[in-house]
Amino acid sequence: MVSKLISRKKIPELVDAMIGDFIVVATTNKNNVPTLTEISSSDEVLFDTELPMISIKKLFHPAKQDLFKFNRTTGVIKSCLEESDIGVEKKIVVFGVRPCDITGNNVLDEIFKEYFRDEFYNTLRERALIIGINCLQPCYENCFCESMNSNDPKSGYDLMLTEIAKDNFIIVPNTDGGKRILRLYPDLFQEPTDEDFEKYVRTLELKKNSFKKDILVEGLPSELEDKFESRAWKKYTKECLFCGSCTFVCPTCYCFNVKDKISIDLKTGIRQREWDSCYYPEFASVAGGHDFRHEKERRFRYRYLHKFIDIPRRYNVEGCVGCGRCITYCPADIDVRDVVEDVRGEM
Amino acid sequence: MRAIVTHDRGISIPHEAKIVNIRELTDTTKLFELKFVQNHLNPLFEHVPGQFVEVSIYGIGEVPISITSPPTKRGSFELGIRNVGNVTNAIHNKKKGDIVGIRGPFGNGFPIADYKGKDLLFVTGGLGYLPLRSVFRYAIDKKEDYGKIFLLYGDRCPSDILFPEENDEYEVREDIDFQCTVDRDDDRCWEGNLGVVTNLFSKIADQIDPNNTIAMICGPPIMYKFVIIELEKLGLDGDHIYLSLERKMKCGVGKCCHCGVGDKFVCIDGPVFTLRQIRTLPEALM
Repeated sequence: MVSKLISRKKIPELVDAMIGDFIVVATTNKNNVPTLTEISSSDEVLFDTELPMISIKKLFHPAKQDLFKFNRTTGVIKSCLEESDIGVEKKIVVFGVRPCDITGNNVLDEIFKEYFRDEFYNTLRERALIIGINCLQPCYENCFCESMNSNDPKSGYDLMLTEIAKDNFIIVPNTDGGKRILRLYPDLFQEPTDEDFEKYVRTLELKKNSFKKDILVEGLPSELEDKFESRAWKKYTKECLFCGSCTFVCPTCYCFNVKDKISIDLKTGIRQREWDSCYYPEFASVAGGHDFRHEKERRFRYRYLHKFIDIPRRYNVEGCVGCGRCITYCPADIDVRDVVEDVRGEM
Repeated sequence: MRAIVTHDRGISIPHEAKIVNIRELTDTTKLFELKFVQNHLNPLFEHVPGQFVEVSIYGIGEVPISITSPPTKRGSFELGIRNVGNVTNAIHNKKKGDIVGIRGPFGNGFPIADYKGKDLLFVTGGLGYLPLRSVFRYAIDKKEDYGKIFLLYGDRCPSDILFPEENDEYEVREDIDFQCTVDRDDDRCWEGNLGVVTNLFSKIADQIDPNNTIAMICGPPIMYKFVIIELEKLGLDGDHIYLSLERKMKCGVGKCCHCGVGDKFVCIDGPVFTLRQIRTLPEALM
């Protein structure tokens, strides 16, 4: 077995060792909210914290992404993939990613390779190694990952840490990249004993019992489809501020707008894409003024149906991972669980 | 079928194309003929009628524009563009020899090649004429492969009528039944039909064989609802009615989500859908 044992006090040492060989990204207290950011020392890392405000999606699909530079009369000068540090050899290690975020990012992996491979997302994604940290109980009251089957991802990470007893973690590799990290720092790890493995198995058993389901997703797509005209949509549309916060903090929201920015010389410029939100008024409007989702209710409903019907049908994965961020950061206190239950419960 | 001229640096990067000809179609609509600057791309560029390209005006933005020329025209392609927004306004200010960016072609297009031997019924309103032109010009160029061609065209007023000289040709041909109407004729210069495009159905109804006819429709959203009623009256099956949907196709490659309709993206699953497909998509027709 290639799994290793690591003690809690060695984990900061592991992080510091990796900083020498990789670009390490972890959850820190930057801006006074839990934020994923590049670190230069393990002192910055919030080890036992809940979720960062924005999931790992921002590492592969940044809020603003430069696409290419252009000259206004002659056209493309060069792709920003070529000149940024995106192309450098050094890999990124993302430390301490929760299972729901790993599952959420697996959805984006599907979307950004479907049909046409998006060069920006995939280049950044292929460059990253993800070290997950297992959740042994719901991390806070808004978490409903168990309902969305997202707390035990089978792929999308390279190493997974699981705390098996106070101060000891089993670290299990899931890819060759993960194994490589284990080989790089042999002094930090111990060989797990048979007893450790027994504890590991028992921990995973206990984990299963610590989570309960808030909503039942089985059959949800067809139930919601039947409730397209539900009055509950109207009720929540009245409460919603359409600020788009939920879409930005959602690990599976990815839509973007594309804009050209002209430099001060007025001759050259840069094409950029930036996160957009389907809650915004002009999201579906076309030139000439026709707006295909002009009514707020249609915009509100579209996002829910996209998560709970369209993504599962199209990509065969859950479109919501139950991380609860949209609940935490909603200024109008709308709870996705209530919306779904109200809609499906209405006669 | 999908010969996409992808940039070797990735799908977000356009290829430069030169405007080789500009023709004014109406007060607000121009036809641009384009050729790729890199000459070797021109023979590689193939499209299915009904597909679109993303046109970049560097510094202003990018918009999806349907290809107006049929696939039978090789070496260059045409885009009919109405001046309705920031980017299309910038395109209208371009001159012969200027450079624009092109990505694509994207979307599925009309599956006209699958329906050899069938009668074809084209219904179009307003600017929908431009995408549909690539389909019916293809059918006319390959007339020996198809049965009778019906083309119903409605527009707002006589001065908005697109390609009048081509329409005159269709009018005199025996093997094409061309019917045209305008909503209003304020200048009293129009001798043809007045009213909406659905009025034209009565003129062709007795010649349509519902079991052997494929309908292809492109027009403003409001038109679809009424045209579908007429087509169903004629007895056409939902699988034999094809409609091209308009949406905000920002990226063209199924990523940006602006053109989502139900679990479909108009840019990669469409823009052409059968009526049967559309019936399962919420808010597709509106």
